[in-house]
Amino acid sequence: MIEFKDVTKRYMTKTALRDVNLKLDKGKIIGLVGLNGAGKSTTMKLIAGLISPTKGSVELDGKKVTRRMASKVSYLSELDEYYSFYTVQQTIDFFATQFPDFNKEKAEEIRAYMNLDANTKVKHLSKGNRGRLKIILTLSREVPVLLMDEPLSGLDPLVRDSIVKGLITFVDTQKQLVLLSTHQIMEVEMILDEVIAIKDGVLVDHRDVEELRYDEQKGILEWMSSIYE
Amino acid sequence: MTDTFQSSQPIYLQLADRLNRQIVSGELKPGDKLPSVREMAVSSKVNPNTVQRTYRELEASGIVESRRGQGTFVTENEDILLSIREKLKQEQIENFIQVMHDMGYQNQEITEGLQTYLEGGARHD
Amino acid sequence: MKAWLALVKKEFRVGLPILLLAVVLFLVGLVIVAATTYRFGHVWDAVGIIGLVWGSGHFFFMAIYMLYSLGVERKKLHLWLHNPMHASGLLAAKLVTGTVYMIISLLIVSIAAYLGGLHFVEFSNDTWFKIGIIAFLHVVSFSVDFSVYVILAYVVFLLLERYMPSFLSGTVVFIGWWVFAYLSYGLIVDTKFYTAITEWGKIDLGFIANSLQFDISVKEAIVNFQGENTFIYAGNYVIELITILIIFFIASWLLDKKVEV
Repeated sequence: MIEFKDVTKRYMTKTALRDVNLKLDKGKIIGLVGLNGAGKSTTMKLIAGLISPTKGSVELDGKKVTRRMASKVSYLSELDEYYSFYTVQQTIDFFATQFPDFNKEKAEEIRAYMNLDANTKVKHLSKGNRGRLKIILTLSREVPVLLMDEPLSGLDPLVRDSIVKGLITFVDTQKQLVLLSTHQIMEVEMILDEVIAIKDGVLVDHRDVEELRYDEQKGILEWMSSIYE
Repeated sequence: MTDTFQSSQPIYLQLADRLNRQIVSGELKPGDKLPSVREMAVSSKVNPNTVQRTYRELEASGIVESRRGQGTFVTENEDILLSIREKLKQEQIENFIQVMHDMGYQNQEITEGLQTYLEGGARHD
Repeated sequence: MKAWLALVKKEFRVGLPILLLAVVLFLVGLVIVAATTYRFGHVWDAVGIIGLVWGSGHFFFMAIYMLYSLGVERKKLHLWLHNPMHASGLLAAKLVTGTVYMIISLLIVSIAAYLGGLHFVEFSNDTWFKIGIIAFLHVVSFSVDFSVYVILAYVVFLLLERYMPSFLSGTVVFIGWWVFAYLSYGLIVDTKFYTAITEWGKIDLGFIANSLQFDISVKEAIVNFQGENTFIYAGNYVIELITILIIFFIASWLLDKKVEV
């Protein structure tokens, strides 16, 4: 479904990704792990078509990714900047107009589930609630690819828990591909099908998590520390 | 179902194990309906794909059966239930014996110990 | 189309501060001018003049509007650009809303200019109307025209920002702007070829000057209009329109393919 072929992404002074080859299949929840600056966000943005590779190609269903792939990709940035003059409901309504695949009933369901007040202005939301809003906006789209850059970062355990449960409840694991990057491995360990480790812009390993447990009796954390030591 | 899984063992096997025990202990009765894949995934906080796999495994072993459009049910087949019961017992005993042997206990010590323990069981229960 | 109209609605909300700022500044200016000229009994003259000055100042309205609106998006490019719509649609929504706001603001200013102007010189209503419309249309279209160049400059700024510090990127674009303006004047506008393609479709605006002369001479004001010079070329307008369409699509293309989040 998604394929990276010898992808290198260079910025002026640094190489963010180096010769990455990667294949991602639909119907999986895939974790992208690595230290800060390892290239996780770059990988996400490449799939969203928000940046383009310096070398190599990124394809979605056999087609070269462009910015307008947004029709097939729901991207959640690590930043939580929204139009601050909107309320939660207005933000949801605006998203619904921009994406034909946006399911408003689902958005309402997730909003209620996440316990987020519809009439609060975005600029008055706490960080945790902005995190919840991001989840609502991302999961309400019925698209083949969901990209979530650090959905749990900086949130307290209660919010993290409700986000993880929200993922289990609202992602269609038969049809959708979820790629999420995170530091909080403990929280997502049990919901990942596959895990990809990147280090200094290089893809170190890409494993099926259950196979990893079966073959090496290792959890993701142990596996990671064996990679990063 | 609140206790967590070990991250170093395949989750689908741990979940299957857990369900097997619930069936043998009678917590889940023959003919009972199992939670849907998503319900189970949410309540045990694991990936729905994993639950799907667990259900497939259990179905293959015969202890549950899926009825089209209705869900997954605990089998009412006595033979299968008995054999699972037997199998779990064997597994536990094997584990126990393995541990005891590793620590250097002899078979006789083990049986004597077990007997004493079980006879005085009421006190320890 | 539905998505685009919803986007337009959002843009109205994003750009609202600029309309409010323009109107508030104008009203504050009016009050100050009226208060200071009151004792000399020239209030209406002052109102007319400030109306004219602020009205012609609207030449820059769209440029400021676009800089502001694009500046808002710059902080959330991942949000603005994560949209299946073509970049030209994203930019057009901003142009349309800015134009509507400019027209609203300019109408308010025009009323003041008109009321003040009536006390200044007494023209026939018909002449006022004609001059007013022509001036209005020119301010609006020049302002939009200018802002399209600003859009391109801003997109180039966003592009360069990925490769250098923002300050440096801004400076490069600023210098580039003047070099471009200088070169385009020297190499294009000042040539026979340019004259040939633009100077056609002469439209005589002499009637305005004539009626002005007539009205003004009645008032014995010292205003000298030369009837034979008041004409415009349709060709100038057509070529400029084509130019800014090209500029607009270059900006859209760059935003679509080259700007990175």
